[in-house]
Amino acid sequence: MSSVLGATAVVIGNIRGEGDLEIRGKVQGDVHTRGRILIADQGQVLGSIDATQITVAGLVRGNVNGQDGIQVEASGQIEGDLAAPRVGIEAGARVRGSLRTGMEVSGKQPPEPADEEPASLGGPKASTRLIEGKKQLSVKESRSTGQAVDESQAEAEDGPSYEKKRRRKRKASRKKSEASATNSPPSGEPTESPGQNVGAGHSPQPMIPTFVKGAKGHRR
Amino acid sequence: MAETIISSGLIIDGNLQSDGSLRLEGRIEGCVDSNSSIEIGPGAHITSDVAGKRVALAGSVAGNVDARERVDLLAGARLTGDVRAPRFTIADGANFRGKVDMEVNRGD
Repeated sequence: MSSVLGATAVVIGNIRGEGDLEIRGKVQGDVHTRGRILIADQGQVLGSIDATQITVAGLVRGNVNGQDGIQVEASGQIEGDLAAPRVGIEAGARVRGSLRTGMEVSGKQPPEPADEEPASLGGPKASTRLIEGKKQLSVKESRSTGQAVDESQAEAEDGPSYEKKRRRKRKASRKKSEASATNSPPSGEPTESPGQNVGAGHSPQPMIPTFVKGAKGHRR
Repeated sequence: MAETIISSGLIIDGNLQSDGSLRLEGRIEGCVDSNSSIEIGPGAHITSDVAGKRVALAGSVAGNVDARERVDLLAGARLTGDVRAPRFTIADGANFRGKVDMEVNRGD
C-alpha cells in the first residue's frame, strides 16, 4: 500500500494512517503514520513527522520521530528535533535541532531522570544535561518557579521575621561551607598542603552562581 | 499514472490540491481540488467538495462535485451532493442524491 504525493500537490492538514508515503509536494501539517516515509528532493513538510522509517531528502520544519530509524540524505534539511533508535545523516545534510539516538521512541514523553538536582550548574553532569535538550531545561524551570512561588508566599506571611530567618540561614550555610573547606580539601586539588588549607578556610567562600531565583544553590 | 496517489490506508485530515492528476483510494476529510483529472477509487471516502477537470467517481463523496469537462459516476459510486459539469454520466449501480447543473455556456 504505497502512496505518492505529487510534486504539485499541497496538503493543508494532517496525514495519518498506514502505508508507505513518498512526499514530492508540500504538506502543511503533521504526518503520523505506520509505515515508511520518503520526503523527496522538492518535498516539504511543515510539521512534525512520526513514522516507522523516515528518509529525508527534502525540507522538514518540525520534529522527526522514527520508530525504527531516520536517514537524512545529503540534500535533506531538517529544522527540528530528531529521535530514533538509529539515525543516519549524510555529509552535506543540514540539520538544526536536538538529536536523540539509540533508545526506544514511544509516543509518550521520556521519563525524567530520578537524580535531578535543582539548577546549580557544576560538575560532570552539566555537559550531559545540556545535550539532553530543551525538555530537561523546561522541567527545571517549572520546578524553580514552584520554589519561587513558595518563597514569595512565605515572605508575604510575616515580613521582618522571615528576613531574619533568611539571614540566619545564610550565615549558617556560609559557616557550614567554610567548615567543610577546612575539614576536607577541595576534590580538584589533592596536592594542597595543610597550611594552605587553613588559610583558604578564613576567606569567604565564593557564591556558586545560580541561574534560577529561589533555588538552593549552596547544597553540595 | 496519476501524479498523486493516496492509497487506501491513508487519511488526510484537511484539504488536498494539486495541478496534476489524482488517484484517491483513502479517506480525505476535506476538499479535493485539481486542475487535471481526479479518479476516486471504490474504497475512497471524501467528505467535502471535489473540483477538477474530469472526475471519475467509484467511491463515496459527501459533497459537491464540480468539473470543467465531465463527471462520470461509475458502478459502486455513492454521491450525496450536487454536480456541476457540462457532461455527466451515471453508470448502472451508481448511487446519487443531489442536483445536476449542466449549463451549456460555462463562463470559466
